Amino acid sequence: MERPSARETGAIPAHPKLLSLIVFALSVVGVSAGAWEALAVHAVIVFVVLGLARVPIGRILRGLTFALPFVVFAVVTPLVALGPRTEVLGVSVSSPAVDAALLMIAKIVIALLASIAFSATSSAQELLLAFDRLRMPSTLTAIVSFMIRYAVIVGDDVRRMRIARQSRGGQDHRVAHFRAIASSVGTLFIRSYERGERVHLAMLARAYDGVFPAAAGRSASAAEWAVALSPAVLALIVTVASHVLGS
Amino acid sequence: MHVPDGFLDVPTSIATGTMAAGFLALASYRARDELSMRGPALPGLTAAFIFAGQMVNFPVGVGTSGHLIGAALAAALVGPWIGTLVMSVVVIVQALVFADGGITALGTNLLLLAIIPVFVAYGVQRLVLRLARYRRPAVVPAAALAAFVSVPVSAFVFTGLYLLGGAIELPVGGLLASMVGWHLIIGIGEAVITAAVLGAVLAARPDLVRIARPLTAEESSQAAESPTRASNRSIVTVGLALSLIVGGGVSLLASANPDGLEYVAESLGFLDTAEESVAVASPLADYALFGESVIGASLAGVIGVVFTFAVTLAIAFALRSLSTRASSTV
Repeated sequence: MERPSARETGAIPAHPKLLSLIVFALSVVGVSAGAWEALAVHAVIVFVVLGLARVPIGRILRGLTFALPFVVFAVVTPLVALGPRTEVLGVSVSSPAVDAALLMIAKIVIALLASIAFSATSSAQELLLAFDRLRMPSTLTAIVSFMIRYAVIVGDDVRRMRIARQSRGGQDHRVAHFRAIASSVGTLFIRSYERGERVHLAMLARAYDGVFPAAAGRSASAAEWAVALSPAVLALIVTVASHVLGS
Repeated sequence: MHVPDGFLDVPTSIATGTMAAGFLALASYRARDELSMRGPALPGLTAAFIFAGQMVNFPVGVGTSGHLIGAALAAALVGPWIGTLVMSVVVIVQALVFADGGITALGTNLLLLAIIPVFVAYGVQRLVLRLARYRRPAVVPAAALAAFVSVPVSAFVFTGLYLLGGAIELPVGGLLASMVGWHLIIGIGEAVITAAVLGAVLAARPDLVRIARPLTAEESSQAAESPTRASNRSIVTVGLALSLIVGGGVSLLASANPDGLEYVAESLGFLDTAEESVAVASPLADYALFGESVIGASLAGVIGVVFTFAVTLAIAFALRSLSTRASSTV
């Protein structure tokens, strides 16, 4: 779960970065059809950020796989979309849909790269502090914090159960193993739930009274705010400018 | 599969975001008693379980494997309110820690993966259990049916959202048929996995399965909660008003340069010349009635809000009447 925190951007607390990500993604999504220059600037911005943050290329590529189903969707849609038809490589496609599909793919990839830049430079712990700073409801933040804290442990449970299963019944790739896998997931729930009960009792024993002690997150300096928000503000200006100039 | 940024337009994203925030607030409010009594560790561990459980590959035959989505299982195990919170936390962490699912699409993903499927599943579970007179052997089939139904319902809502805020205009019938059709298959897998896992939990610790608990205790606690109904209604009203204002207002802003609207009008213009207009059946076709105006754009946003809100509200009311009727029969 612990993310490799990259140096430059990683040093900044996560809450300005999270705000920056939201504004940047909205700017990308808000680009109107045909405003390719704006998206090109957005792409440059996100690559500069990824470069400065020294996000490993493997992590970027792995993150990009999340977009694959939707890129496939965008590639297929011109074949079935409405509108006048045109020929591309001998295949009849809807011509407005081709432009729209390309635009959609560009937006998805650029915004996803921004999300990758954020997640690669913010540890789960920093994210929780950011939730606190951004006044997320404390119950939700508390649940998120327990989930993040125990996801690794529960994930280890999954691995141990798989090893145990395989040592008894061989590789579990066959339908015959379905029931065994299902009961181990059922057991996983029981173990997790009981662990949750024990954790809560332990907290009560340590004088937990429904309020979490204030998290020790530090505030961001004005310079850090400026650095974190600069990509987003730039992207927003570009999008707004493209709307103004385009109309 | 999580919707990425750039798939739906800004007004739709903000409308779904507002709605998701409203429902999360409502869920936190309704779950507050249980949360204050049993602490945040239990839902946190349940979220960690769902998250880890989604990683387990189930062999489903013909050489392929499927994995759990978990909304119906969460609804059956911890109930609708905590279940919504648990699934939401999973979706939020996936988006922010793993960049799986867009940040502007977070509201959409919360609605599609956490809020709607949990409530649909819980509604179906309660309905089936009621019809089966709360017999213990009906619990697993009820959960399986709920899991099966919840997946295509989400696909249906996704199709609606796409028609409102998607970039490429598609024939409604075809999109709906392929989305819902494909998710019916996924729903079967989800039903089989949910049934098997829930069966395993029931065999070992039936007391941990919320929907299988003796109904007397739960129903009496629900009866005690009825005074909160009025305040809930006002929360819902305020939420709807807020969503409408945001949905309409944002579309109004967006209409200063209405790329989406222009695009739709353009394609509809083309369609008028086409011999057979499939889009007449489309809800998008209605926007053209209002022309390329500011009103048309805001209307698109408002309709978007009303549509998704109506779906969720219908479920909520069905649930409420179901639970009150159930309590009167027991």
